[in-house]
Amino acid sequence: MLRTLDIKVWRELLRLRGQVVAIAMVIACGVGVYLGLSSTMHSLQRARSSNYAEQRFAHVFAELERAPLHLIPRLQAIEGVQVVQTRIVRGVTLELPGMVEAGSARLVSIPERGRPELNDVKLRLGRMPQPGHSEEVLVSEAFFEAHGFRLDDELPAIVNGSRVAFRIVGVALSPEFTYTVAPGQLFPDDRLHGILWARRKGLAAAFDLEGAFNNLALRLAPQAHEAAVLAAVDRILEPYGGRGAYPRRDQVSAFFLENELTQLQGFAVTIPLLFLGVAAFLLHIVFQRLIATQRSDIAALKAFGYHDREVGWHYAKLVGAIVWLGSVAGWLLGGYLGSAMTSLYADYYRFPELPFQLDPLSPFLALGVAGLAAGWGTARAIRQTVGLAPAEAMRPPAPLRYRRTLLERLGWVQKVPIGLRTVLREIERKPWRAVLSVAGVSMATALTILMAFSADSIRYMLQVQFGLSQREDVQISLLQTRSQAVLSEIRNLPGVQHAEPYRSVPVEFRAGASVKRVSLTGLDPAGELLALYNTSEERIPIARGGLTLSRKLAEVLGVRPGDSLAFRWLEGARSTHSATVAQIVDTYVGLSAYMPLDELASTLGEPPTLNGARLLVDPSELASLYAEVKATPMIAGIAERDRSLRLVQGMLDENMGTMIWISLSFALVMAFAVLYNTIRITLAERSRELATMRVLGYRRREVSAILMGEMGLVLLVAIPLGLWMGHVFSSALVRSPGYDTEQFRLPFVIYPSTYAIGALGILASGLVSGLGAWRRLDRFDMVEVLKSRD
Amino acid sequence: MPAVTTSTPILRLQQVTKSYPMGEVVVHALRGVDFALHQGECLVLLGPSGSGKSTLLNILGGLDVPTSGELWFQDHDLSAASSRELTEFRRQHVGFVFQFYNLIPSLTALENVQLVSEIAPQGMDPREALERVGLAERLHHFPAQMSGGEQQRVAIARAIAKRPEVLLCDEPTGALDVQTGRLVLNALNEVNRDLGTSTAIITHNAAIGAMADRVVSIADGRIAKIEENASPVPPGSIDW
Ligand SMILES: Nc1ncnc2c1ncn2[C@@H]1O[C@H](COP(=O)(O)OP(=O)(O)O)[C@@H](O)[C@H]1O
Ligand SMILES: [Mg+2]
Repeated sequence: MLRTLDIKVWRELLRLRGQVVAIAMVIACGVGVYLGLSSTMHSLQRARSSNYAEQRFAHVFAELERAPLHLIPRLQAIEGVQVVQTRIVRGVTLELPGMVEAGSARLVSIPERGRPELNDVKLRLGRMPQPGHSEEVLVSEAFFEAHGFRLDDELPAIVNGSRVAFRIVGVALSPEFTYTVAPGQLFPDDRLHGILWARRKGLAAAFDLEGAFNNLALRLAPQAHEAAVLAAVDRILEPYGGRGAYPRRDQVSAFFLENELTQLQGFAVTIPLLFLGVAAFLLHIVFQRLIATQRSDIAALKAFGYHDREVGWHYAKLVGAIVWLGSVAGWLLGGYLGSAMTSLYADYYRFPELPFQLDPLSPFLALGVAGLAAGWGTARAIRQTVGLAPAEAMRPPAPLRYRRTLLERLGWVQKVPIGLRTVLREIERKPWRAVLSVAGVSMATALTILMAFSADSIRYMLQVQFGLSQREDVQISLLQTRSQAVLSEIRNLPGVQHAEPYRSVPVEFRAGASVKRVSLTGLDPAGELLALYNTSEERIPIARGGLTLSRKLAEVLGVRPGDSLAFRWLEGARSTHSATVAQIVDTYVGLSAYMPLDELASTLGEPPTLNGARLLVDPSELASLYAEVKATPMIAGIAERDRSLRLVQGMLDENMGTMIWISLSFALVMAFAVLYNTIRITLAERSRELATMRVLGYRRREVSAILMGEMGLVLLVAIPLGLWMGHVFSSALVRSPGYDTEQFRLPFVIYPSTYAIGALGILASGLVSGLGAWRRLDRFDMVEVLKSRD
Repeated sequence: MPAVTTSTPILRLQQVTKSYPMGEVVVHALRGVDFALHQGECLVLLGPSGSGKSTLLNILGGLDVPTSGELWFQDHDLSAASSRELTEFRRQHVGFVFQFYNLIPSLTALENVQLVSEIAPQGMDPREALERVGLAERLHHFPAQMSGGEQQRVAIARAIAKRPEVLLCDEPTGALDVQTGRLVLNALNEVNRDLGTSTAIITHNAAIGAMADRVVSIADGRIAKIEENASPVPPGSIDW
């Protein structure tokens, strides 16, 4: 007996195949996005935790000017500190073979003998440098690969002003540099910036740091009171130019990784729920219709003696089959997405191993949630079949009650064409269905915006950062602070057409309980090469008589223009000063504070000095400028604006592009499924009417206009609504924790082209679903439809 | 105004067959039918269930195409007409009435009629059409608010609103009781008489033949017999 019913399940699936596939696709998207993102997260988290544990990644970090090694016992004595690691870490300029540009590297000390107790390196190739061989270095893997180096290659560098030839003896990774960016940068540039590890003795000698250290890392006991440790470290390092201790979560690489995971998590939860919600709604419509048309079948089954439970179970199996179909497709999709994303991440986050790992429970979790959503969507319909009395089911359903629509009753619409009138009355009879269809399509529209807008925002940010704000060709930073006299030397470098000095000093701002260490930059108020802006793209010149703060810094400190702000200079005299907050500017990277150059000098009680300059350069002489810079010991680094721009642009084009197309296609699947179902249900419910109209002499075009009418109305409402929702969601997203950080912010920008692509995509999916139904209209047998009684 | 019944054919079938291949076997619904509907006449098609009446009517009205044979409307050969041409034929010249009314449930009586008058350039005022079938009072009722007989009369009003040359009715009283059936037949009779619309009515009820100018009997896909009726009686006096 049950076997026959099972055959009916298959028949039903086959008969409804279009709708079944559409709904299964939506479920597959939900399950696939969840599995893809959650497995990517899982893989990253697993790789991270094993890497952090194996390489003994420190819990607390601090940078300082120079402190004697005999501080170690005092640091060791801080309650909660288990291991103290002192290091020498300095930036160096590299003379990269075959490259015009000057590269930079962070040179990190490893103990003279053995392995680092914290922040250990993972040797990928070669061997550790030998004690006493100060020229031997390990280089970070990404940098090594980007240059196609080989072991024993030479690496010329300028260390503390003098030329040194390092030799690559090994390739390494470290949890400290999983994400490697040059200071102040957001994206890795593996050709220009790398990490070098060398034995300590040689480094100490090169930097005049014998018996001393300038970098501290601590490992804490599990129950340690982090804030107390940070405060204690700051107290001890204070006299030695301490720049402030910070916990692991603020460590650049750890921060970026954690932030990436936060972003992933947000999407991994919300997007799948959106898809499953839409699937539930579609199942609801399809099953309501199915059960309405099968009342007599149901009654017959019951009259034959099937139990309510068996009949309910029959329809539940049908739901189950769709969920299963969608989930299995979702598993495959999720596995593919997850492994693709994980390997994409492997290019930016360097782990010794980043295998694609699936949390074994997550496929079942996804299946379970999809099942719940489907059950929620179809519960009412299935309950109705169970509750149907055999005799009642044999009677046709009560005739449909219609009335004039509200618009007509109110007399607002006098002359609605008849075809449209039927469409409007159908909608008014089942308003929830129309509302949910609109909701589904507008969500899909919103999704296209939400997924694509960040590329716009980043593009806009680039345009502001590199097009408006940074107007120099190159920027150079000096090894040490110099007097203004050096400016003429800089102006004499080859190709330099114009030079503007700046001076940046590490300071600690203090406002009430908030303390923030940032660098305060003195700029020439008449300078043209760094232009500051507010969000309305109004240029804001550096104000005289106070500080110009970036908005995020002002927020963190809780200060407003007119407030007085205390700060301490973290170098030299370590003196405390105070200045008025003159104005706020909007920046997208880091926290910044500016002052007129001369004001900064007089505040600090110094003659005007500089430690860097922005230059305009004759492009044809760029190569000779680089060559000269490499040979000039006082210049620590040089950065070319266009290179940074190209780098980010390349990343956008390469990765964001694919991601956007993938998510756009998900959104379109959602829109297609909703619209296709709308139209199929209309076709099913109104086929008799449409056939009648054909009999009366209506042309196929006229009849299909009515068929498409409901979809058209849904699109008409849903697309503008969805674009608006996309706008709202995106603006909420840029303010969410993963996107509004001290390290970077996204401006909220959506270009018209993004709206247009979203709207056109949704329209296209409407067109495709319309075409599918139109084909059916063609095969539609008038005679057959007229024979039946409804 | 008395109806002018002539013997000029308005619709003509010549050697029409219709067969439906059903897997292994072929069902022959029509097996070579020669038949004409004359200008202005009221014709009743009689025959048992399954004899091919509906098939015949559907081919006459351009809803279906014959397997072989010819269909002529006046002097137009529709035998090889495309589906687009058949649509235009129905749109301009044919009115249909079916057993189950086939009204649009979301439209009122008036709007159901307007549905046709909107696409018929020389159609009649929808109110007039409804008046003709005695429904002037029910213009704004939805089908669900009307009885079967009323619904069928709306269907007739809808069919005649375009002033068709031909009115084809497939068991128009099939779902109605005798009393209501008479009302409906009366309405059809009046249309035929007053507008001169050539009318064919399918029924399996021989008594109804009494209202017709001619009675055509069909059996097993063939015309069995054609009877002229010199003195048709009004439907009101027919009993069945
Ligand atoms: N679409 C179809 N497919 C197969 N057989 C059909 C189809 N339509 C009608 N028939 C068959 O053709 C014959 C005539 O049908 P029909 O014209 O509807 O008869 P009537 O209207 O006189 O009852 C019947 O045997 C019927 O089963
Ligand atoms: Mg029939």
